[in-house]
Amino acid sequence: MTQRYGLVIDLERCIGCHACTIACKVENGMEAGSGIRVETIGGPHPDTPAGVFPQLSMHFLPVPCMHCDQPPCRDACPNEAIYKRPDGIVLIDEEKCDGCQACEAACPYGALFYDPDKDVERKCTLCHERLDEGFEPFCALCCSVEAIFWGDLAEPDGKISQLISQRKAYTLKPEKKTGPAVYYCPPMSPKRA
Amino acid sequence: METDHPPAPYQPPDFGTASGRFEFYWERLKEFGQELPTHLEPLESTRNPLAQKYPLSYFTTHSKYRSNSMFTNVVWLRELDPEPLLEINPVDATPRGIKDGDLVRVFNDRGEVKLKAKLHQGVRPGLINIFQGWWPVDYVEGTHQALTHDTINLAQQAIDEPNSALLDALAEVELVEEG
Repeated sequence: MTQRYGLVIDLERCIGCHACTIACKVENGMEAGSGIRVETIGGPHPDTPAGVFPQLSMHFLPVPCMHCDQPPCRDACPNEAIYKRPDGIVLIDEEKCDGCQACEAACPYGALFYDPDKDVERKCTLCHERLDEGFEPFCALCCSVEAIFWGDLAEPDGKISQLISQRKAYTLKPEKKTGPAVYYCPPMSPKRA
Repeated sequence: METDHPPAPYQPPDFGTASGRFEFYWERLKEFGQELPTHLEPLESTRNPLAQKYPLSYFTTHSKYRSNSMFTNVVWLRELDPEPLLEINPVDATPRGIKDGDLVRVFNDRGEVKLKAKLHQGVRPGLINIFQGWWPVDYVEGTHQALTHDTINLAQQAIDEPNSALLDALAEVELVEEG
């Protein structure tokens, strides 16, 4: 059976510590937040809640590349530099990328970033080089509260498939019909404002 | 598993007290009125007459981006948390003409600090906060500790653990320059 690698991120567990962001920077050497960033589900600024004091709510949302079934970035690239591996991972061929940034505008998740030093686009690779050696993505390993789970979505009894069904995990912007491979377990409490 | 390590750090009756037990009631602290744990009014609570001049409780809480002032100069962390900000509820900011990103001056009789404001519903009205650990060089002017005091709690000093309450201060904020 074909593999379909993905992530499940548990928003009940995430405390917004940014360890994933820094871990990604250690592993992949990008500007902080390029590979995975932590957004605040709440007020207008990072680390601020929604609502009016004292009726408040705040959660955190780590956002990596969604490694979509139908990646809009791939379709937008004029140089055919973006491709999908058979296991579902979306990668950028830095030899073919000319830094035109058309993919950035096409991505509904803001997952691509221009690297001015190398004049190429960069993004989360799901740490494919680590996966190929039998390790998990570095963000999942370094998450201090075990909120990021890596696995094979094609395994119906696998860890992340179980989490998705048990916790009614959802994907971001389903209306874009991109088919993300990153699922989010909703926070259980308190209720969102 | 066998180990030489004791199962608990204090083996009763070895608390070094007269009774040999952990003492919730301690006559030695009677002269401070703290022979039992008790509530003390903050030196600069909002019930203090000083609050008419400086109506805001001034907090300097811990940040998730550093450990006290350690790691404040780590470039990678500064990408996430670039500069100090005064967190203030819109209830207090709006009458002072303060908006997000404005340069403000926080001050009391002890000192002042200048930095940008961040309007924040998570900070209750009547309270302002600057995350501690920033270095003086990180501020436009001054430093957050210029406003605090180091009045020693005498009861703590009596048991050789002197400490000062860096969250016990009143202050006022004014707009310096629109952001």
